[in-house]
Amino acid sequence: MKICIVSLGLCLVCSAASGSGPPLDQFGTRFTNADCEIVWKTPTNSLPPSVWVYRVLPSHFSASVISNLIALGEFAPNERVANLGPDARDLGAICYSNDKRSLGIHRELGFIEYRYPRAEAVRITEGVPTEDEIRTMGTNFLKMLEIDPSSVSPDIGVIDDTAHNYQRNPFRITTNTHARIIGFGRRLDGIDFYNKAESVEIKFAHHAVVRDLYLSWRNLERDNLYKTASPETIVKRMRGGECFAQVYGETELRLPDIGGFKRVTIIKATPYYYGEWMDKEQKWVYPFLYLETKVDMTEKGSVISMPPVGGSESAPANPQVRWVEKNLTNQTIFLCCPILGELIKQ
Amino acid sequence: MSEMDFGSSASTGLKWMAINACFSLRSQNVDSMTENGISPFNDDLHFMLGAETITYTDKVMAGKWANYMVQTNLTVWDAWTRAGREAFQTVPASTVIRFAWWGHGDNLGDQIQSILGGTSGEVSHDGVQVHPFP
Repeated sequence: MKICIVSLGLCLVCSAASGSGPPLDQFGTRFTNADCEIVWKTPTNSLPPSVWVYRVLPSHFSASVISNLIALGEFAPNERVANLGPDARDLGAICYSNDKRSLGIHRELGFIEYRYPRAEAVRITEGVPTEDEIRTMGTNFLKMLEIDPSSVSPDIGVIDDTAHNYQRNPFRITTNTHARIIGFGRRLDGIDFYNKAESVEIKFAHHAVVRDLYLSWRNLERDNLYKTASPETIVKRMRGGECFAQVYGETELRLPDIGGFKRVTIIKATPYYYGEWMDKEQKWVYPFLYLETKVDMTEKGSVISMPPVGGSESAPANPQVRWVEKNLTNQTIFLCCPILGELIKQ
Repeated sequence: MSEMDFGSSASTGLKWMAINACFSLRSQNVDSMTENGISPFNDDLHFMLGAETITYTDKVMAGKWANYMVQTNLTVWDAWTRAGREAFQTVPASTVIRFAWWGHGDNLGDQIQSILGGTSGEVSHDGVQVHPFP
């Protein structure tokens, strides 16, 4: 009897790793349209033949990393605090705080945050690192944090923080870059994390003072290896309601009625790993497939005509509702789909 | 916006105002309003918060902002941007969302527990990209 219970327990552990997946429902609306035409029009050789699922282990930041971060904030031993807020669940966290700066090293979560908000002054620009300088300085910080360079995505982002300052008499707008931010994303087996969920981000203010440093870099161990699902399987999953749709928009983000989709053409397929928000606990790290599609659709809606204010003899007295249908082509819609195929190796 | 008069001199009066609406603090509009002497706040408001671009009416965004302000030592502005970043983590990779502030930059270090005195200096406007991550 004991053997049976142990076996059942093991199976439950296995299924937790291999049977689950990333929370794709957080990305959008379930794609449910069994009838529309789906065309796979992107080369599959850009996809890896297999993908790993990773298990998250507690992180171990070295004594050198911890001591360097404490030195960065110039913290005194008596400025050590239990946590940086009641939400902190990491009992092994090392935190410091004073009226200017704070530091949290969350070993269980693989998360570090350092903040020095008063380092920033919107009208002081002296010594803000240039783009070239910030790349060098950021790379030096990666070394200080003992990040393996081979696990960093080549997609390194640099953003300027530029303020508009208003002066009166005479009115004048001056713009100045008072800080610059660099972001390094994590890459596993050639696959980036979606939206750099696992990353190092550093903001440098005037005189190259570090204003913020965030690191989310969980300790990951390879668990199961899977074949990448074939295009046929992905299309089948789309038809089976396993994928989630989201729309890109600069001015509107309303997803059209999926039931009106007539033809979905997949033009780009990118694998990503899913990472939870920095200080959220995550047990497993799964890959998924992000599809860029062009959709031809019929959109149905209603148009309401209001009567003129004060009434008019020629116009109707009540609002008139009219149903309209319009055909739209080539609309960009993104789909998030499970990528795992057949299990290769446990 | 021009009809508003946010801000109060009382010790517990209004010091910050957030409007989580698309383009609520679009740069060109803020520049134009300021140039024409239009301001939705008085000298007692430290700064307004909003979005330069499109944003989402995420159901937990405001709650996260409040939590970060009250339960951690994040500044009001940092709590705003961090709540946005967390809330919009899964929006389309190509959608750029920038949060913004408009007001007295000298007060940007305000925490809800420690307000940095009265307002001073000139008015500024600034934004930061909350999605995608840099």
